[in-house]
Amino acid sequence: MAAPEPALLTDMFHKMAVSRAIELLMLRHTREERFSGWWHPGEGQEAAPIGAAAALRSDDYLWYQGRGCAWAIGKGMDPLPILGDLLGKMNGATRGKGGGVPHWSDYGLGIMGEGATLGSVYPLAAGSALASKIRKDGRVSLADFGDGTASRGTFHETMMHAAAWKLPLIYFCENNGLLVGTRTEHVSASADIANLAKGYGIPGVIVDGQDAVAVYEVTVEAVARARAGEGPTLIEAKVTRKHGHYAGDPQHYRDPDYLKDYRDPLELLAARLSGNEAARLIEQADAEVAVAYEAAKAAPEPDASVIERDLYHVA
Amino acid sequence: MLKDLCIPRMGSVENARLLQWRAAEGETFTPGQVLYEIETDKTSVEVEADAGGVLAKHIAQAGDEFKVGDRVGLWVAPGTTPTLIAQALKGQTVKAIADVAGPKVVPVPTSVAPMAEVRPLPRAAAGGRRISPLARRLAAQHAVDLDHVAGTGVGGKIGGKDVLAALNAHLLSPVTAESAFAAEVADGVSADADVLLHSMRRRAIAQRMVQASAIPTLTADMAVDLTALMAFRKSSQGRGASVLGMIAHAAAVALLEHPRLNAHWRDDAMLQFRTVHLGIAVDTPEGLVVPVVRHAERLSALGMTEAIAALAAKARNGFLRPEDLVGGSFTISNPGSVGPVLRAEALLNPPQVALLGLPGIVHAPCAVRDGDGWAMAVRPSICLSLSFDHRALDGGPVIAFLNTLKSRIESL
Amino acid sequence: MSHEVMGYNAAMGLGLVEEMRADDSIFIMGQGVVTGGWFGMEKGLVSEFGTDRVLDCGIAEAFEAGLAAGAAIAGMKPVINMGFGDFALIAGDEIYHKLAKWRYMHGLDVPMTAVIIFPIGAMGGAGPEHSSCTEVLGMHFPGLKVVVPSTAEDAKGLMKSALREPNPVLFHSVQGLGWSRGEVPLDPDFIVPIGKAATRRAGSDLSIITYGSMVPRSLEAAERLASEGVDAEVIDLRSLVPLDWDCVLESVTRTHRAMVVHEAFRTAGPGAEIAAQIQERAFFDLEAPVLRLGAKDFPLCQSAELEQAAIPSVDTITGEARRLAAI
Ligand SMILES: Cc1ncc(C[n+]2csc(CCOP(=O)(O)OP(=O)(O)O)c2C)c(N)n1
Ligand SMILES: [Mg+2]
Repeated sequence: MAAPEPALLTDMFHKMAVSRAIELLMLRHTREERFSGWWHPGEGQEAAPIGAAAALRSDDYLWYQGRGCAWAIGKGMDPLPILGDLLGKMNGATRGKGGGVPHWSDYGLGIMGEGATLGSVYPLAAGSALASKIRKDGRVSLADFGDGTASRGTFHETMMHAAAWKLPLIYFCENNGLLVGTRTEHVSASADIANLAKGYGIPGVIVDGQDAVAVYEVTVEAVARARAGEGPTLIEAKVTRKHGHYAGDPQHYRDPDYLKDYRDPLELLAARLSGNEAARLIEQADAEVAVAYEAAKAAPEPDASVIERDLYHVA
Repeated sequence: MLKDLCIPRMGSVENARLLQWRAAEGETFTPGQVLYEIETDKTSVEVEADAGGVLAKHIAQAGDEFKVGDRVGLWVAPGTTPTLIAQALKGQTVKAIADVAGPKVVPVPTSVAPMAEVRPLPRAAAGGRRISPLARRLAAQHAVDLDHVAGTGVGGKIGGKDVLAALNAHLLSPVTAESAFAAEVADGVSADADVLLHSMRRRAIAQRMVQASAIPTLTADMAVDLTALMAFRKSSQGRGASVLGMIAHAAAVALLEHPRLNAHWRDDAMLQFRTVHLGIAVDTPEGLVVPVVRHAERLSALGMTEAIAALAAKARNGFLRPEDLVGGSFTISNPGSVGPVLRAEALLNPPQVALLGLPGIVHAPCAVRDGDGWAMAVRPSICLSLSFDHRALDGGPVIAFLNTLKSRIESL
Repeated sequence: MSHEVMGYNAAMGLGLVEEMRADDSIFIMGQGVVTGGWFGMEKGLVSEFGTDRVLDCGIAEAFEAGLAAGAAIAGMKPVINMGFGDFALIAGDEIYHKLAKWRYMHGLDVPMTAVIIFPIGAMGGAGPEHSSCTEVLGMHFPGLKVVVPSTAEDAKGLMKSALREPNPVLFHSVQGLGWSRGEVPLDPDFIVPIGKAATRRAGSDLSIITYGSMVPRSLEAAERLASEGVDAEVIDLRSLVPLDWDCVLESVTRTHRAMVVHEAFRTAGPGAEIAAQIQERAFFDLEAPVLRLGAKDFPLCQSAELEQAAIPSVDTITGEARRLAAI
């Protein structure tokens, strides 16, 4: 297994701390201030995105699902365009369109964006993967989704072709056992989404999704397979959804035992760092996010002219 | 797609001769480019293109003579291919070019104006006949009175071409004595005169006046003291009422007592009305109009004042609807509002049999009762003129009416 | 350069081949394209461009359209032959959300070329789920361009434009015209611009605004009308998004009468929008209400005879035009 270098560990921890700072800030912000949209908190579920993103090159294509912000941070996005979007400001990644349902993207960083009709990432990721195969550019495409989204028909349509064509594609499932309040067992005979891989003739891997290093390691292998032309891998990260489906969710459905075995991914990763590095990185991340939050708040609001932008590109 | 190229209107010029084409068939031209040269009775003129396009066809040849508005050629939108032009011309040879020898028609542009700028005639202007939206716009744009437009569509519907036909008939009416005179004037016999062609409304007024002047009309005058009326205007009850409104109110009530004046003359009978629909003559830049206050007998002096003001504003802004102008039973004309005329005799508004004229209010010395004797005083007064159709009425009932009116006004 | 008489589908294929030769980011995917395509458009493609750029796929329309979106975002120029316009509904999310909105909702002003081919309309017994005219959906969801060629020449010229267009194009090929033939320019620089209508017949009494399968029928109706003294202009819209309003309004302000004819259902079909805009923008140039002629509002029957009875024919177009001219 490819254990991460110390410098990479530091980088992963820093990114996770930045994500965590944004997550905590958004939990407070959505409670206390005006927020247009639905914030789907990812606090406590940062390890899988951070670990997987660390295994990708910056030119690899990431198609994420919109819980939390750790995928974008993990892939290299600054806090400012994320916070700008969350507050609906002109300095957000969407330049004022709003990101209360996240739509941040940065093609230069391989952050391709989110489709809020869940399950749309599968064929899109196959599209970029096919592009890489035709161009032979060695890039890998990763489609992130939740256990609830594994039911979509496009999951099957896409993987059937991607496996046959050996596309450089990774299916990355964050299985938190919940689809809003519905338990995965209710819609799937198998508790493990990774089982589905068998039918397509591709590897299905289960990993502890609270452990960023473990996630990193399995993703590195899947990436290597994809780059080598050996085709797709399905990774299933077992994760814990610490909060409600959305900020403010009363969670009447919540099983009191669900959080019993919860482990904080930040603490797990901190244990691998030396001395007081973790504390220093958290302090640094908090400061960075505080500065970005102020900048986002101070940024101009969009005016209605934003509505008429970006519909058609004029060559 | 083919558009007409026509001899433009140039002042009083009627005839023109094509000297030469300056643009060839198939040539693309730009706005302002000279297309052809014509010679008129006075001078020769280079005719320029208003818009860019492609010259599709020369219909006229050098030396041909034309009237203003005649078509000399055809053009199409810029960029139209020669194949399409040829195809379009194929259709035209049968239809339109053959028409050239037929009736002459002044082309009227029918381009889309931005909706906000379009002020079509109300549908009611067609007097119950069906009318197309295009016809409504063209009629308003060219001030065509729909009373003079015959609807040739299904069920008598008025279409755009009907309005244009009426307009053309008007513009190209045969040379009359007046227009010959106008031409003479314009030709320099009297170089300082302006030729103002009659509007459709002026023509209608003229026709009605000639009709009215054939009626044996007499006028009876009666002076009325306005002291009480002026005082009433200052009272809390009368505040806001105009002199016209108050007199009209008094007249409406008096007419209920004297219905013979509130009537229409017909050859076989009198039509005597039990309600008063009061015509009020209003002077507008386009000429006199007489909108009608419905059920004037039901209005107070203040109500009458407001009703008249509303109609006058509609008249001046051109918003009168045809139904505002019909069905009057009696008319008041108020030249005194324009200037201090001494008498207000007027022609009747047939088929009505009587008309009340209001001249200016004067402050005149007059004899007033002073105990058993008389004293001189200066009082505001007005000399009411009641013109009437002597076929329908003799002096008696008219003077009786005036007496009632006088005492009503003086005892307000 | 010279012309060649060829079929509508072949002309579309020629446009595609020429562009694929010039731009190696173009690839085509669909069911059966490797073996020449269901309607012959893709004949010979695989032997020239190989299976890397000519891809057969299974019955997976959402996947096909979604893959097009993903590949286009990644800078490729995908062409997807969806087989039938009906399948737009299977891939609705991928077409009307992903292709149409992706850049907009991410605040990206970047090029995104993708061509989705939808064969639409009656073809002689394909039944109610293989004959739909779905082009109105592309007009309703902002972010797409929508074309419907009616001649072989336009099929080629619009295909070339679509592949040079930096926005996703829904390319509706007309099943009923698939085997019709026409002169097609062989010049590789020849294109038909998206958003430009063509006046197929000049006329002065009324404007028939149409596209796709109804263009030849409207032209035939116009010839019949001419013999009755009614001079109809026939406008082939060719593009529905953007729609050539200048051409439509210029015509209507000349003829003062308009009718829209299409094979799509009459209710809430493209004609509803076109008629509404004509009356909004040129009401006071009209002599008569704007008429609409479309398919009866019933699913199309499988029987080829009943299928034809449900959509406008030369007879019904002529009759409606005659009625319009008389209003
Ligand atoms: C196609 C579609 N159906 C339903 C929804 C509504 N929805 C938003 S999030 C969500 C739950 C997704 O569950 P899962 O994929 O397990 O992700 P998680 O919320 O657990 O992170 C649902 C049903 C949606 N956005 N898109
Ligand atoms: Mg879940």
